[in-house]
Amino acid sequence: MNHQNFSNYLISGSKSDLDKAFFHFDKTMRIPFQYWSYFHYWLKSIDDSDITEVYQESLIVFYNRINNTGTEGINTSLKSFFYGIARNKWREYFRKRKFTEELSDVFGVVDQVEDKQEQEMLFNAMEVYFEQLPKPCQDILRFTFHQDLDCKEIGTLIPNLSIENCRQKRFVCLQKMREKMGVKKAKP
Amino acid sequence: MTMSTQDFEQLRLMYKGRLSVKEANVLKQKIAEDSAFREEANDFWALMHQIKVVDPTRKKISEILAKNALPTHQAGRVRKIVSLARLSSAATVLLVIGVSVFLALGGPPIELSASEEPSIVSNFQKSGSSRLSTGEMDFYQKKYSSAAQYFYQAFEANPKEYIFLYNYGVASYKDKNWSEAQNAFKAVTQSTYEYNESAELYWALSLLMGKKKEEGKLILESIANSPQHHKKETAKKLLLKMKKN
Repeated sequence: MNHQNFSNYLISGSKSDLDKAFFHFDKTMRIPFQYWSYFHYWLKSIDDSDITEVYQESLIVFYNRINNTGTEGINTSLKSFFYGIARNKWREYFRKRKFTEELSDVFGVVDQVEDKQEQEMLFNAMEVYFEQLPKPCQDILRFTFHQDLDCKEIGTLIPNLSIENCRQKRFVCLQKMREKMGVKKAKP
Repeated sequence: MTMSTQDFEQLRLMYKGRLSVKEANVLKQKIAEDSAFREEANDFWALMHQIKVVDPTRKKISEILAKNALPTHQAGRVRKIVSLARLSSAATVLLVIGVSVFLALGGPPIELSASEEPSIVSNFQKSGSSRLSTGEMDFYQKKYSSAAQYFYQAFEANPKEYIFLYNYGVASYKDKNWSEAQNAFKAVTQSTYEYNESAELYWALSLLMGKKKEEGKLILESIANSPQHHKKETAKKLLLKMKKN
């Protein structure tokens, strides 16, 4: 795989170079990733939509990693590093799928928004609710759900935040968001 | 019983797929036994799912994936461009084909149940304005009946704007008001509105959910048999599920 695009980004540090590098990375990786996934996980009854989801999740982790710390600490090729992330994501995905299937009877099914317009609409609505939260809440939720960090790691980014404190704040922040979205607070 | 921080942590780990089976079983038991707890857990589960949407990196990656989208046939099916030379050996090719056939034949049967079906009708169409209207906000707050009322009034004021009638149908559907949903989707189907094909599928679903199975099935069959219909595949899947049931 040609890493020239990533090298350009690492030299220049420009976001557009990073996006360009990912554009090419996606172009060269998508089809091989499909076959790699079918080859390794065919016994798990996966389909194209499962692969797309895991691919996207892995790409997000990969993007955040390169964006935050570059290639520091990566001792393999970027391709192998990406497949390493993907292996972990597949493991999580299977466990999550199992739990979701088991819970679907009691929970119902969470809507899968596939249409681009609908995605944009949901993005706008969620952004409104999200921006209404206090800044510390936004930070904790971002670190947790977007950057996939645990409370120990979040504690190193937000001063004076213990692990217990972080967990409590995270829960309170989500409760606030839930209330903002019009869901009543449960009676004690 | 209300949810504690610790319960939420467990739920979060379960959502991430990082909870052990033993811990998951304890949590599942709690969810099954306590209805108030279940309701709260359900909301948080959905919220965790939706909160990911506002991730700017996710948006960026989606854009990159969309830009690199594979070329499609006219019917909308993705055409895979595979350079055989890239495959390391003929054995790999045979294996991939074998696996694909296996998956195509051995997919698990999917139930067509009342609790699952409404999720197929996902969301309303975006209005022209970039700001959310009252009805749209109501819809996101799951106040479907007031959203429906808003959309209906908007349609009465602008009878040529089928987007409002379409959204009225979606809100009525979510509100399990099948007869209203049927009427709305029927009217949109017969219009020249750009989403009239989606409306046709939703019309069929409203009929199925409103206990008019034969009528719904007939519409699904007509969709499945129209080569240009962009909901053709979904209709085929639904018919297959009905047959299996």
